[in-house]
Amino acid sequence: MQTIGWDTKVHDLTTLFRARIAPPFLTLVFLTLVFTSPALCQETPAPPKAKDLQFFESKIRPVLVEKCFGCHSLESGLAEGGLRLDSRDAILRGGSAGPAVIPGDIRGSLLYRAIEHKDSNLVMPPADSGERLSPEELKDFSRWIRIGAPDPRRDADHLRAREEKENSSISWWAYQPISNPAVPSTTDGATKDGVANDWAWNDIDRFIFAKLRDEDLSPANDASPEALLRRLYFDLVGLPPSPDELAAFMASLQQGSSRREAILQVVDQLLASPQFGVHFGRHWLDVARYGESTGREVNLPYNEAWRYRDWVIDAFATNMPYDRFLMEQIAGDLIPSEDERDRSRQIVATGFLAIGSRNVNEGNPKQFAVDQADEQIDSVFQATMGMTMACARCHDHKFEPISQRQYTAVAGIFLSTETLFGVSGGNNARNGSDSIELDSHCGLPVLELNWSPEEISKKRIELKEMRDQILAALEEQESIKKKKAKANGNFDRAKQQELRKLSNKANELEFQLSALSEDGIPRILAMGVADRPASPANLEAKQAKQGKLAKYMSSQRRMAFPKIDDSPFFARGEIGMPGERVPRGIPNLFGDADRHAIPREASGRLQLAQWITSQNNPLTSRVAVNRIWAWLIGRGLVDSVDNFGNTGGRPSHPELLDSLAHRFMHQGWDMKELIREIVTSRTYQLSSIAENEEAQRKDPENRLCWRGKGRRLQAEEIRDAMLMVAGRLDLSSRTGTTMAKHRYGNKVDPGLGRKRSKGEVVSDDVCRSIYLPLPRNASPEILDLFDLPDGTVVQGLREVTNVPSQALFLLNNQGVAGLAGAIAKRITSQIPGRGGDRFEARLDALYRLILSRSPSREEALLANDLFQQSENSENGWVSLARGLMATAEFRYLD
Amino acid sequence: MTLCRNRLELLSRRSVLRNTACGFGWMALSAMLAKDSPAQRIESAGTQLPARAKHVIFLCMKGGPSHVDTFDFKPELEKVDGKEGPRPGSKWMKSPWTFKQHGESGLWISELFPELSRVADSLTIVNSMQTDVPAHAQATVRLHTGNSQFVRPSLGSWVLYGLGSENESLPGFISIAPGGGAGGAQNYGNAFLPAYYQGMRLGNEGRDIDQTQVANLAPIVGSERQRRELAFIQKMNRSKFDDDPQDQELEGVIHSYELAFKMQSELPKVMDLQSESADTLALYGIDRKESKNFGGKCLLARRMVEAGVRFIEITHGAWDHHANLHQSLTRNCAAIDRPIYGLLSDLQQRGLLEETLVVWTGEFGRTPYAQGRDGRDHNHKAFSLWMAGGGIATGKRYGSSGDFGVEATENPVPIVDFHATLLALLGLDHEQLTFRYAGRDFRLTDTRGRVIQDWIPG
Repeated sequence: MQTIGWDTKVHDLTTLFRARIAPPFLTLVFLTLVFTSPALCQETPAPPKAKDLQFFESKIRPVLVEKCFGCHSLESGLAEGGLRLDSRDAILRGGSAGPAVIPGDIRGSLLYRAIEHKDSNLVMPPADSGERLSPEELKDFSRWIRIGAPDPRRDADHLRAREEKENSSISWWAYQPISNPAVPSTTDGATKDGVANDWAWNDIDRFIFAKLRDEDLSPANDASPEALLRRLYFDLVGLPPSPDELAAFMASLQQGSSRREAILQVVDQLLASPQFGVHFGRHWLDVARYGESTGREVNLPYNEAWRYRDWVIDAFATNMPYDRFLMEQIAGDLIPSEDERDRSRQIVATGFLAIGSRNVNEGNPKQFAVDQADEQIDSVFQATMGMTMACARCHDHKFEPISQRQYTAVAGIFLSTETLFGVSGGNNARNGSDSIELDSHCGLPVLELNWSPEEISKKRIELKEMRDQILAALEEQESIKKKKAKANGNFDRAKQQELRKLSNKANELEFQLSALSEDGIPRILAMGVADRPASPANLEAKQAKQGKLAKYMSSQRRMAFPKIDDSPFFARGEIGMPGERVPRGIPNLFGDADRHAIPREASGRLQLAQWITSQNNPLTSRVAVNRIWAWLIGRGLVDSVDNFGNTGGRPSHPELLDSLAHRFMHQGWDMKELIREIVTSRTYQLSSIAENEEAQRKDPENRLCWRGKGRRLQAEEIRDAMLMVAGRLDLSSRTGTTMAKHRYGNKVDPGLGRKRSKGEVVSDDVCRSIYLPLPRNASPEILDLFDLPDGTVVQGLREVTNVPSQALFLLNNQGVAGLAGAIAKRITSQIPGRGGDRFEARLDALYRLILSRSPSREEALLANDLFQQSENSENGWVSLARGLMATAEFRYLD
Repeated sequence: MTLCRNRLELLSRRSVLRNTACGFGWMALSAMLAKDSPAQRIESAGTQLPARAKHVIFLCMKGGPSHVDTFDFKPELEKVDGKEGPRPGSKWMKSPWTFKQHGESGLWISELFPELSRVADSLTIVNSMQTDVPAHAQATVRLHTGNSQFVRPSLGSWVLYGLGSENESLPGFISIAPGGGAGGAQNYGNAFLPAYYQGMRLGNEGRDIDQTQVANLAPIVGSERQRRELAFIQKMNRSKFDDDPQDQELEGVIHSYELAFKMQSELPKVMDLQSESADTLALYGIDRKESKNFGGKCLLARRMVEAGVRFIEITHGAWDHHANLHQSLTRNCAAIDRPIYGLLSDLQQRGLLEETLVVWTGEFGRTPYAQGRDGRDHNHKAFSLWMAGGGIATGKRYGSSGDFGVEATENPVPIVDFHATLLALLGLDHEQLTFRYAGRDFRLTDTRGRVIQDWIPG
């Protein structure tokens, strides 16, 4: 034991002894290893004999692959217990417990001990998998170890294999063209439980049914009509059905409408409602990482984000074709428009690129610009194509066929684009930005600012004075510098600070006033993007405007990337290490990049948008269909809705996904039609209760869609539903938000987003939640509590948490109590009078109002208990109303 | 733990962690999985380190305290005071305060900390800390999450994820008086970890101790009535759960009401400083105007440790002394000196210091040369932090920032190494504490980090 083997073992031993729990058997193993094993000596082993290798190939390798690789190989990406079994080196090195095999020493080989199933502490394959090696296989392994564990596989081979795999990452399913699979035949056979194939209502069901039948499973029962109606309402408009709507639906079923007809009728009505746009618009805002402020370090408000919000709502309400929907968001400013109105709307749509979070306090303007471009690349590629393009900023993508060079080609597109996000500059925001002024006759709403003409002229005079003061101070500074040229020429510190303060104020004021025209009329401002100037002439004109004030007035700052140009290749993504410029271009993933060549005078956003929405692009349609599926069914056909790359998932129903994607793309990118098809499928309306034990055992995650998936309501739905059942919700839209109306400059007023103590947020503006102010890191309490995304990244599906602060809110919040009070009044005035029979009628009304169903007998008794114990009838109804809103059932759809 | 063993196999690690609120961490999960699978047991046994600390109290001095005026004694700086400094036009500025050696260890500490100096022998002072950028926000976020470029889980979230909570009636990670700005909620955010590991914010920076509260904690109806309502809610919930016992999220809802209900009574008890004796209040400096607020927060932290909270951060603002160093640093140190002395000696007396790691740090340090007449500029190349308790070495000085404090010259410590070592003290291996997100396993220390064995005795 005098070789290097000793050192490694000593190290392992110390780790082991330092461990808090060191199972005795492990210690034993190690002692055995160290003191008795001959295999640890590092002498060069004789090369294995051909016949021994043959034995490995025929008897050992197949078993390893089949039984072990699932958890112990590079291929699976797993090395449970730190152990890989896919090369000899890895096996001898072993895992956290030590070498898996000690050649020649069967007893000392942990691998053998594990497969033997004699030591209950070490059983492989795991006991719960129900698998174990046959006696023959055990014998083979024993022999294999005895003859020195011959094995031709070396780690280097594996690494090379992996590299090859990475190079062929383009072979991943999502990069393949979309096929147009045939709908499975409807003529053959029922499931083994006798569910016949006429179960299917539409083609979606035929795909789902065929797969269930192949797996010997049957679909669950249909959901109750009440649960189904509630599901449809929340899924399509984000609101509960009113008791009247519930009654009408039940009546139509009783009067002999088929379930399917009744559903179709409701669906058409809901899809036509303006509330559909509000609800689905919010889904897209999650994808678009919507937020009303910069977030990050200094968090300044975006005063015009709401225009993009409204554009999204409108696009869904009017069923804008999805390709157009994307086109306008990426390049709306660059595509033709019918008139000024359309043109303005298209510019608003490009707000998508401007609303991301950003560190406006970044000291280096160049860094700021490349970070901003990176954020845009990340969002565009993830939102539309489910690609994690931004991973290739500092190095070639580790998993996708994207090189850093290709990333740089795309970065040039965004660096050639000016992003106008409308934030006051100054010390806190070293990187402020103008807004885009839209045509005053474009017909978009004007955000009124309640300033009197006197106030306005006062502010203007103030601003002029400040600018003069800054100029004077600068002159003074100059002269001091000249005088003290050789001595310590620093400007007096106090004065310097004064100057900073002044410039902050001036910036803020200038920003506020920029909301008005010369005549004091509010301008119509928006966030969005525009191509930078292409020619140097324009550039010079722009720079000529920048005077002495440039350092102190953010509006006159110099830009790090002033014109349309290719991006330098930044080594390791560092701006301090620029290399040669990489021509702007589209990643040639689908062999069609030459069809989208970028003209010299254009940023390339238009070409990028065309490539993304091209029918040649297999990702865009699949990603869109999958998002919509996930919003309605609760999970995607592909689980990783924002990541379709090699690290994402595979579709549970590839043919169904392609069939939907193919039709979506070739039939006008019609979102409402796709939604209609999904919610009128039989699959959609299945009960979510996991009654079928066999199915639950075989497919607990419901990948095969054998049942419905209940879902937690989203934050907005919870608030809107509470307001609605209390009769308080105002369904009309809002112009701007409370925050935008204040046109704050250098701060997000935390009080606006987050009125904590009294619960005003529930009820002070009773608009739909989408219209509430949504500054990042300071969104309204109730939305925060129920998992509103923070708007920093693309998020196609929301997190769902169940935390005590939610419970505290529902139990103790004044706003909630106020709504419970309103509900109690509503119920009692609806069914007036006194006496015992009133209780039952009221209770029934209360359940139908809040849970869209009547109470069961047991529930009525339970409610009666609570009511009887209450001090008085009013308290009783308030308690019941609050209680029902606090139940899991209220916020979970069945 | 209400999870049935036989259901376990159906659950992903994430859904387990998301839905089983309290008392549950990665380590516990590894151990639990080990019950079913011996291989897992091997893994967790191999990756756990000996735990010394169980709790962390993280005192964050926002703005960048001057190291050469507090815990990094620079006699050479006195000699060059007023002479030309390392940057063109800069002038060295000696500390306006004197340093003395304290305790048996003879650690040098500035006269700004007369009280804390009395427990010098329990400290490990690190004089060679470094961070990447001399900008507040980036440095603060890096200090808390290890990364300022992307949104990542905070240190406290990782710790809670690793160890789980000790008290089922309280959140396991509480951030007292965090500031807005400088990354804001990111500094106690869970990022991609399940929301259970998010820090609970308590109060706001700059607020008085009296205004340091949790929303909606006070019942708005009488306790009898609330009990009735809660019984009704939970019976409704349980009957739904009986209909569909596979529904993990429902279980989560039921649990959240249990914890909320307990928090209503438990958290105010923890928050009730009036139950402490006058002596204790004085020990923490709560009887003095200048140290009342920070003292109150330190006392809260001790009470939280006693109650089983895993990670407590207290933020103290305004250490960004570009000007008025003399006055402002004096005032800041007076605000925290007595409270920290009180905290350390109180923990010690109660036998809690052994298992509680106390950290004092800013996001970076300041220049040993002057800015203006009475200020110092940001310095990310050298700063000092100290730690006490939780198994850290005692009476120790580590690293050096050279003769003048411009840059760490001996044993420079990047933030990742500090993080790795802090986790190690808690028994967590920073290379093994991972969470799978967006297709890869993430760690607090990303691909770097080294445990500094010198900080951990024997």
